[in-house]
Amino acid sequence: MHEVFTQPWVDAWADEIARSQEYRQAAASWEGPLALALTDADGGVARAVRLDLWHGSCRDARALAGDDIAPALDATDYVLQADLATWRRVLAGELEPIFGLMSGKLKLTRGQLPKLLPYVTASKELVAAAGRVPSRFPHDD
Amino acid sequence: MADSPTVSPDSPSPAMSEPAAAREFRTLDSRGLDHRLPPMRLWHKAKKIGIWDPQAIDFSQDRAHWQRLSPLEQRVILHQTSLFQAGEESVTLDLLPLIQAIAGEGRLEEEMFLTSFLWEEAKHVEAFDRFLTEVVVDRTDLAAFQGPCYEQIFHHELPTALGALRDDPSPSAQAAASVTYNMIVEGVLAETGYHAYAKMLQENGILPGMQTVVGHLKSDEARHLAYGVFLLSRLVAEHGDDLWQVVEARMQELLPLALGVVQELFAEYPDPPFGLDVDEFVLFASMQFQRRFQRIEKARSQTLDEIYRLDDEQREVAA
Repeated sequence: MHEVFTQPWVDAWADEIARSQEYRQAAASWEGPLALALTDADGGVARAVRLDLWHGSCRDARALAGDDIAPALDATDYVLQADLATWRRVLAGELEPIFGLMSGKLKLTRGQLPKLLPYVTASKELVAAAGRVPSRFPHDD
Repeated sequence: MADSPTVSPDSPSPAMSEPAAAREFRTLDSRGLDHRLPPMRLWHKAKKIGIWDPQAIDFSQDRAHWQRLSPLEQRVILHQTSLFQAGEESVTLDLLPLIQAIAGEGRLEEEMFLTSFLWEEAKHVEAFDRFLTEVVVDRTDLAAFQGPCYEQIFHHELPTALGALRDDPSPSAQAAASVTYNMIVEGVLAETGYHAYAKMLQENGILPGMQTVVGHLKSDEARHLAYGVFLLSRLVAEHGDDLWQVVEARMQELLPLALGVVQELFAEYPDPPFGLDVDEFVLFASMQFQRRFQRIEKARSQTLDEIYRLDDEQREVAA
């Protein structure tokens, strides 16, 4: 069991992505890094994870904290940001990423929404892979 | 004179042989019509600004413009127009069960507005039919423009969700039907499509008759959407989070299909004419969808009275 947005958790997520044939097919033409950012109490970013995604595989996966967050997110094509309650729903499969973006539950703080639309299935499979990682959330104890 | 069955004024028809339940007519007692209700305000607007006649549209210049367009330009306009026309035919055919469900609950003001709603959808069908008959003329293979996502919505999701109300007019079924009809078909597809279509015609200075039609359509659809936001807000305020979950789940189910329709359209035109831009479609649809979604979600913490007394300014924002 790994706490979300930590290095062991994102490592386990990358392993699940590597095992997902569905993701590999759906994201065959995807090129570029994507990050999930966790909103803090002041609306900034408390933690983030960055995935370097390329043609259906994950080339690198990193958890970001502190001073590493801003420069890493600046070098990321797509950044999706939300509070913990929203990420909990996304990772549980209750809130699909594209619907989350269209409804305003998820914020796209970097990148263009229209460019994500061909990857609706890929985004579902990416989240499904995260959902298979035994996870716990801060304050769950 | 041919013989006909003798019917005495006193002999009940078969339909009247059962004892009639006592019925109250609210317009005969102190209640009367509540003109402050949002659907009643929309009804008054519909009577004032929704009375255009498709037969009065002047398509004479449109025919000349059409003949001067390139084959690619004609195809792009025909593609969009045929999707609009099939969509308008669908919503005209499919709306009645919702009206019947609302009428069955005795919501007179809402039913009154819905009569204008259906009448306007029928006029939209007539307007596009005139354009196709008098301007385009050749109507061969128009159905071929429908892609898989479009077919799933208009051949299956819409008629199924609305038709289900005949047997199950429950609040949950009404919510699923309204999300399908108002939020997805009208709110994402029609409104976004008409916005882009109108902009394309205006910026290129073509088809003035159709520009007039689309101006009317946008105005009519704004009232329909305002009713949809009202209906879903009322249902959420009345029935709480269980109903909200139906609304959100149905939106999640259908939104990818609606966005798929936009992608299907643009996939056929790698270099679209008229300055059409898929990004503009998607961003407009997203902005409008988000506004309405948040308005309906707000109803989770509102009373029914607050929904009924929404002031004009708030209602305009919601629509």
